[in-house]
Amino acid sequence: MLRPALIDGNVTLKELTDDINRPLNTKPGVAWTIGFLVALAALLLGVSLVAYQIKVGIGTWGLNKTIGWAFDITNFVFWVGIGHAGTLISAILLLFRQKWRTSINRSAEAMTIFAVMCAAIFPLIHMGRPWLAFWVFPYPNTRGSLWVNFRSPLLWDVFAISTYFTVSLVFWYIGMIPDLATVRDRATGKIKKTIYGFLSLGWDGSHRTWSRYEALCLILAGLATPLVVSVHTIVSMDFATSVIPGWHTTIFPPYFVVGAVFSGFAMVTTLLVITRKVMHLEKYITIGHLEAIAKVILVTGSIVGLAYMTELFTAWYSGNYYEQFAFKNRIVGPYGWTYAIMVFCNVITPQFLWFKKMRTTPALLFVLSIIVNIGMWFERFVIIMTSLSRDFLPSSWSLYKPTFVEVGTFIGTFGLFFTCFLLFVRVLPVVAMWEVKSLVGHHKEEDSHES
Amino acid sequence: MRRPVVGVVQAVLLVKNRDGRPIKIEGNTESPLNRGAVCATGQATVLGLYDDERLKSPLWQGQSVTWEKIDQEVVKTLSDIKAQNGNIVILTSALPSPAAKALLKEWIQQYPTTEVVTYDAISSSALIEANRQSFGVEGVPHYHLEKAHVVVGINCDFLGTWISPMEFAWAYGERRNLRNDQNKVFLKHVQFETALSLTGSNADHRIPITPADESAIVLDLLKSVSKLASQSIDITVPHHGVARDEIESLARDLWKNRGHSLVISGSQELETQMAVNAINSLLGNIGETIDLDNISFQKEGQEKTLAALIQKMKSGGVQALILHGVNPAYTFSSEEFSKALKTVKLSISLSERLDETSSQTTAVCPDHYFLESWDLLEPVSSLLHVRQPVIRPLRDSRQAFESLLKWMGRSETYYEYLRTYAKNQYFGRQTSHLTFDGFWDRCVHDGVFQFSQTPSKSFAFNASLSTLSETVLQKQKRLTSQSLQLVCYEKISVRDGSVANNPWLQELPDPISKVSWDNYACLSPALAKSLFCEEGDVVKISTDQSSVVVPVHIQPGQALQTIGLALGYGRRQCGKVGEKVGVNAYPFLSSGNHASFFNAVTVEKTGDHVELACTQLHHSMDKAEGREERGILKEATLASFIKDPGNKKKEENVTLWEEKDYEGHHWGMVVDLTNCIGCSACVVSCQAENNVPVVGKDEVRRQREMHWIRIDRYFSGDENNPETSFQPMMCQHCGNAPCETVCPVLATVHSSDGLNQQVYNRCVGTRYCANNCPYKVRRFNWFDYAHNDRFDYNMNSDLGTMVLNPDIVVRSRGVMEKCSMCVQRIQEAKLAAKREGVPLKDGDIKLACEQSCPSQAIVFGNMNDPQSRVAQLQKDKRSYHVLEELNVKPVVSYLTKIRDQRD
Repeated sequence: MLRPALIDGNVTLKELTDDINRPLNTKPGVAWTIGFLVALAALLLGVSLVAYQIKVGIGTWGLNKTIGWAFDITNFVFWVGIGHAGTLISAILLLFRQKWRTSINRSAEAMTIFAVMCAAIFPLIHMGRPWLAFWVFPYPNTRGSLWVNFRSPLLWDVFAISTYFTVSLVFWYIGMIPDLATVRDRATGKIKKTIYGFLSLGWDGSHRTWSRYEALCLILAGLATPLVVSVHTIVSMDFATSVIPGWHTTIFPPYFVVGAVFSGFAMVTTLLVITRKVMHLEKYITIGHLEAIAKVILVTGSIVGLAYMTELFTAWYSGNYYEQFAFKNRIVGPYGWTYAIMVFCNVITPQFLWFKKMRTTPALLFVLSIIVNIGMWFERFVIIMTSLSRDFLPSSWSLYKPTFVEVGTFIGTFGLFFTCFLLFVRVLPVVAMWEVKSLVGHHKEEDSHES
Repeated sequence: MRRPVVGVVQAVLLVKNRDGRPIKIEGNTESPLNRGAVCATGQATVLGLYDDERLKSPLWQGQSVTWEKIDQEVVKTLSDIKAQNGNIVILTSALPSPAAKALLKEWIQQYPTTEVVTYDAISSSALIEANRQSFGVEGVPHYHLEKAHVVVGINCDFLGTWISPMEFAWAYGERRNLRNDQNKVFLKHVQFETALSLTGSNADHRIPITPADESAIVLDLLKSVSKLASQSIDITVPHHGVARDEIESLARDLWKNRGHSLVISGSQELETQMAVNAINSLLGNIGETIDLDNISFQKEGQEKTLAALIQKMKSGGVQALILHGVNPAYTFSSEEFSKALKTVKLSISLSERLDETSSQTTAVCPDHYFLESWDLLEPVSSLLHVRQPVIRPLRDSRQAFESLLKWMGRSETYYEYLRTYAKNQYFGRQTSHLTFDGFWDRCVHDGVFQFSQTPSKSFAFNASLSTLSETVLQKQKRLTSQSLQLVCYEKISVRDGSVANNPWLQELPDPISKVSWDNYACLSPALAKSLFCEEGDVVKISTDQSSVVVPVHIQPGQALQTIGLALGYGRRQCGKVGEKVGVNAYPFLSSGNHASFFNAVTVEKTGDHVELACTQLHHSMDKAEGREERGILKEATLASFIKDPGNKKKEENVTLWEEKDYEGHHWGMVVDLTNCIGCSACVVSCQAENNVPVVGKDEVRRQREMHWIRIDRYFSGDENNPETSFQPMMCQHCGNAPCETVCPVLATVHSSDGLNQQVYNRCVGTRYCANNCPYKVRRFNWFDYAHNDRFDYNMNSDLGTMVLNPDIVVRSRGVMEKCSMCVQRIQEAKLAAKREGVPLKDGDIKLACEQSCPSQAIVFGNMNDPQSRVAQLQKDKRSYHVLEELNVKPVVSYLTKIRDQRD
């Protein structure tokens, strides 16, 4: 089977460089400006609400004696999940030599970085005393021999997330150096030249540089690969290692990882459909790319569906009353509607991707990706909140309703995410030029032995 | 640390003083009334001492003045009135102090035109009158529940609010205690009642009745008992809701246990109380379980006296009015009272604060708080309770009777008066002390002195059974009604409303409804359905005299076609905490001529909806909740318990890990569910001991109350007459604690003596521990609850914070807290034992919850000591752990609840 061309039309290397560099050297368009202002407003809302919450207390949220986590940790897991696609695309697909990734890996990695930033906010602000958050790091201190609890999954989270963020950031930055050099070389202003010059670390484009550079990229990809699996595995252990029915489940690590890839690719779709349109990158981010992503969504979505069914089967087969009750309660309890949304968005919706028409129509894909993102948010909400709301003692069963502060903070993280992303598309090359260039012109003979 | 003894009407208290301030009230085991326990309201009185609303000085026409000035004015006016032969009225609540009564007699000699009117908003006047007519004894008998084998309560909340609840709760616990001797007779309890009360919720057999049927049921019971006593009365009992054979089987039970049974009624209908007396008389209970020779003075007042006084005032017949311990503008009618007060030349309130009444009087002469004063009380004849001050008065107040002495022109203090009184009246009645000083010191030291009592004997029943039956029948005919009926009741927390400004009591969830900070119309589920009302719907309840607008609470167990409404709420003036909480139900009582209930009540929905501050959102524990599978509550009938006293042999849980070894102490607790009556004394006791903050109505609505111990209350079975189960729940101090493994910063750790310890300083507040707690006992500080205007309760003022226990820190915002098993008490007892060089004995450590429990449901001790009560009881066949299958190894064991029911 022959793969279709990865880049549309016959672009020359110069055209490619011009196209990708254009946004960096022109004034922003109306769409970008409006988008940026909206994102900035959302970010400011988030910042002010977080400031208010830190000043007054977590009581400004809707949590209670029974439900200690709801919006906060749901948002955390949601954003960490989104952060999965970038590393998966750039590391695993690099190792598997999937060339189609080259057009999208830069933006997907950027998405990862920003999503992990959004995610990291929640473990910090969900603390009762966030100003003491540094206590979760094992550092030598003067408080006797006061150490952290290595048995706590929250501590593993600290390590997993910080490692993931660091490696992703380094990988992203290293991957950008040749392109930054290109930008440097084409920059007109002195300030721009200095900044990009500094960031490109004196890249000279020699064969030796290139040879070492590509080796480094492969090593980093190798390092990043286990992280793709480890981060969400560890996040899932926050729940899996607890005693709460609905949390205490061994299926969680693979379930969470697949869910993360699923939601990550959905978010990539959402962003790329807009970016390619607004930044006029249709030539480089083609329908073919979108379709490839759609196929990943279809596969992971189906696995997620299978996980849901497995969970139900396990609950029934376990004979454990609490387990059975937890799942029955998810489906028909007071938050049954969230379960319905979850199943509709995550199990039913992706099945439409069996149709080629769906996979190749950006508008439909866009809508679908949003639905999947909503569904995955609800998945985490269902797992976290409904399990807590009705556990062992009926006397403690409770209900939860988010407050304005919680919703606003969540909106604020979207503000942060899009502010960062919109800045990214204006100041950094959004497509990995040096990688795509390897496909331009001679992709035809390569394709034949790649698929 | 000083622990002086303070006698009150219901109890003798030990007041724990730290740095010169009382911080905790406990019971003195020497008193036969409370035997070491203190009820929720009693526990909370220590906070009342530090109430910001207590007056700082006397007021004359609203202006702060000196005592000299006010004495001058009062004496001048009183002398003028005396000279003009004007009438003086002293309106007082019932006085259990014989010395005060004597003092009032002397006052009358000084001011001969004085009339003393005794008024209690909630009284037992029908009972007292019935005893006068039946036996010629005017008073409340001293009931001996501890001698009973069968008790029948008829609309009588004797474990919660009626006459001497702590004493009854002790006896109840004692008679139903299966721990010591499983062969003794287990007290059988049958309750007929309208609103589900604390007492009814504990009954082996509870029968919901409408109040209109009450006298018919009593009559029917009388008929059945008299038949068994071969004194058959020929009467046709009108139809009522209770099955004939139920009454007959109950009568047989009573007859079988004659002399060891007790029928009590809280009715305010004279005829009903007479019939109850007749039943007890036929059963030979007089002189056995009912002592009429040594009567109780715990309830003496009348509520009907006030209406006549108001009339007299209106007609200008009263020139001076002195009010003591009463608040008629709240408990009667504000407008009526204000109107009547205008004609009075001099009105003096002896209230400690500005309330609905004292804000209208000419003068307010603030009384000492009871913890600042001296008194002699005789709650039951020949039982003397002595009160001494435990702190210097915090305000420029003066004891009420000292004010009276002053105005009588006497120079002695009330303390001197009391001593003289004791010397003349009591010293001679005892033989153990040769000198009066010795006797007095003993009294003050113990707070209690028991004189030898008259042996109780039987009294003849004066009335003829047939005439009585006829009267009851006549009365019953007038009462019979097809309409809705309203009953007013007291809650175990704010009781009659005089302590409404106490935030601990306002936040204490009602044991039955689990609602705090409010009163509400209790409707049975069936009635609510027929009226299309849901929980929280606001309705207007009207009788032809009065009406209130109040939210609905759907209360399983409330008799059909009846509405229950708590008194004690809707204070308009009492202080920042109690004002605007709930609605005032007293106007129904005062306008309805103090009947027990009101007929022809109408209910209409206003269309509004409010959310009640309920601490428990799910109430049922039945098949739908997997009662069997969960195995949280274990209950058995007495018959099956006797046949097979044990749960099946427990399977040992296997573990992969090395078991922890506890050398020395390993603390544990046992909660006997058969004994726990749900009274919630432990909740307030724990709150006082551990500086647990009050969070207010809004935060309770958000499910964020901070209580370290809670009483889980579950209903099962028929929702119109459910079985009620109470389960005290506090940190279970698990051996394999799920909270300990998940904390990232090791803020909750295990101690070498088996306690799960929360380290506030280290806590960063991830709340992971609370999420992972299967018992959901951890409480999070969502806000700063101390010194925060948002939480303007006792922890927001310098005076209010004086109640805080200095052994415990006040937790800051953002940290988790929970039951510590009163680790400070463990430490204190350990240190005391070490100082004395003796090993710690079982029972040396009493936790706050255990200490206050009137029915001895909680036992704490060292599980490593095989002789300790805890170790013994954990071997009891009734013993089980909640959620045992999780293998978290809790140290708190529960003992299966036993009910004397048919299988």
